[in-house]
Amino acid sequence: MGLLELQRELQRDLLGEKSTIAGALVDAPPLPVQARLGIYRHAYRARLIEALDEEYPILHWLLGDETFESLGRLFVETHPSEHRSIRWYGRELADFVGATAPFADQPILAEIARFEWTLAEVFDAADAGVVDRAALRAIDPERWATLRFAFHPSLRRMVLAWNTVAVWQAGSAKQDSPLPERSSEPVQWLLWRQNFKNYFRSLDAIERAALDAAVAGGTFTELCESIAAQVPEADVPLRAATLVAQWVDGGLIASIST
Amino acid sequence: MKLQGFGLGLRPVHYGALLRESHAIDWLEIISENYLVPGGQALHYLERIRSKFPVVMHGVSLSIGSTDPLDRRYLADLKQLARRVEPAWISDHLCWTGVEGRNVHDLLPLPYTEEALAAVTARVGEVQDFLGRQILLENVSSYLSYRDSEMTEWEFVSEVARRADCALLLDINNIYVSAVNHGFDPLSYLHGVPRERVGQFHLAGHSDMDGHLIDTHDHAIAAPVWDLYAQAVEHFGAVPTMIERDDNIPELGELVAELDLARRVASGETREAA
Repeated sequence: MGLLELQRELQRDLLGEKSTIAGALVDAPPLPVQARLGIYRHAYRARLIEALDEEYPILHWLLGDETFESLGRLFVETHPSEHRSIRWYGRELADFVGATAPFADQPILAEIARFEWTLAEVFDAADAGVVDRAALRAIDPERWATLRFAFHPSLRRMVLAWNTVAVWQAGSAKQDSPLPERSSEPVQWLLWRQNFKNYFRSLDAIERAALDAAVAGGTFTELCESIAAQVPEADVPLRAATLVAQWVDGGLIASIST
Repeated sequence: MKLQGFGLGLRPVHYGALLRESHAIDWLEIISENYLVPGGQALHYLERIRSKFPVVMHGVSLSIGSTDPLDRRYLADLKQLARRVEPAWISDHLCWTGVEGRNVHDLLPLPYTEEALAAVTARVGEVQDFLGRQILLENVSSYLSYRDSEMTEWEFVSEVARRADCALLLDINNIYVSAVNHGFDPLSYLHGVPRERVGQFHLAGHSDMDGHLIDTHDHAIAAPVWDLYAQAVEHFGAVPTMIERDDNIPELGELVAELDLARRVASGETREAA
């Protein structure tokens, strides 16, 4: 067998596919060939499941060891890694959980997985300097109308239909989990990193609209217009400026330009 | 850049202790892939630790022995990290980790054939040209071997180093683990490797599975590995030595004590480590 074929056959064996590799291996003590292959097969699954465990600790906690392990096995069977770094393995777990029985029967499980993956993205996102209150105050009021905002690369937004965050928090604090509950309407969450720590909070309709406008590159004037339908006319500029100040305090704004 | 002495693997659980406390650690080895991220805490701590300790980079997914094309993007990322970290050297493993675009995230052994030798030699050349520096390749522990092999593992390892003009990272524990699993004499291995090519030693613990050994990095270094290390130092002289611990990771102080034992074994002060 040439090098290419040897590698394909051994990999097939590790992935649980039909393979002729056994005949190409030395059969000598202290272990028979199948036991030797078994070490690699076991290590392959164990390593990928361990990677899932690192990315999805709260999903693991919710499911318990045994169920998480069987979820991991099912996932690994159908999702070979194509990543150089094992850190990126498992992105598709939320979709898989949402589409695979019996996990799909509890929709909150897929949301938990999506929340955990997003937190990991926030944690590793690119660094950037942030604008502070002093810099904000130093901006000439005349210029405010045309200000545009660049946000920290860690900023993520996601819509959750369940009490996913409450369950996640109980899991992080190792407390009893509240029962899964569908919210009266889906809630948008903001996730970001400040000083190397992850933060998240829910967004009301006004802030959601303002963020939509600002993240899309809109000016402060456009930000004001985006919330005008929801705020008494006289309050709009102050409300919009308060939101900007709040984003600055949270370390969400990387730069301001005109 | 030259480094001497005794290092440890940098693990996130020790970030705080390394920055706060003062320990007899001459340098640190990072797992390169752990820092191939856009930003955040890992790179922040690496930056701070780098200002206190010399650092070397050790990768796990170069897959130098694969028949797949070299992953240029990975190499570019590695080169960028090296620019940031300025490591004394860069190492990875003499193995393959996947084909057909897959990564099985394991260090799989090569057949020791002329065909593999030629393929690996060419790729090491490409990698060294791309990175603009000589790399070190580490011998892996293995649990299987191929009927097609035409030479011993140490002949293969040595020939790669000579033909590709790369250096070697000898993992003493891996030599011992493979020696038990394949029934060869670990001393023949040591004596079969060109002395001038060996740039670093690794030491680590393994698990004894009653008849065969698994390279688990979750135990203290075993007595026979200390013994083999003493013989390696006798044969190769003072080579930068580092202890790897990846699982069941103890307090930093415990690893520093083990590193001190390595110092004493290397200086001939003690041979009886365990």
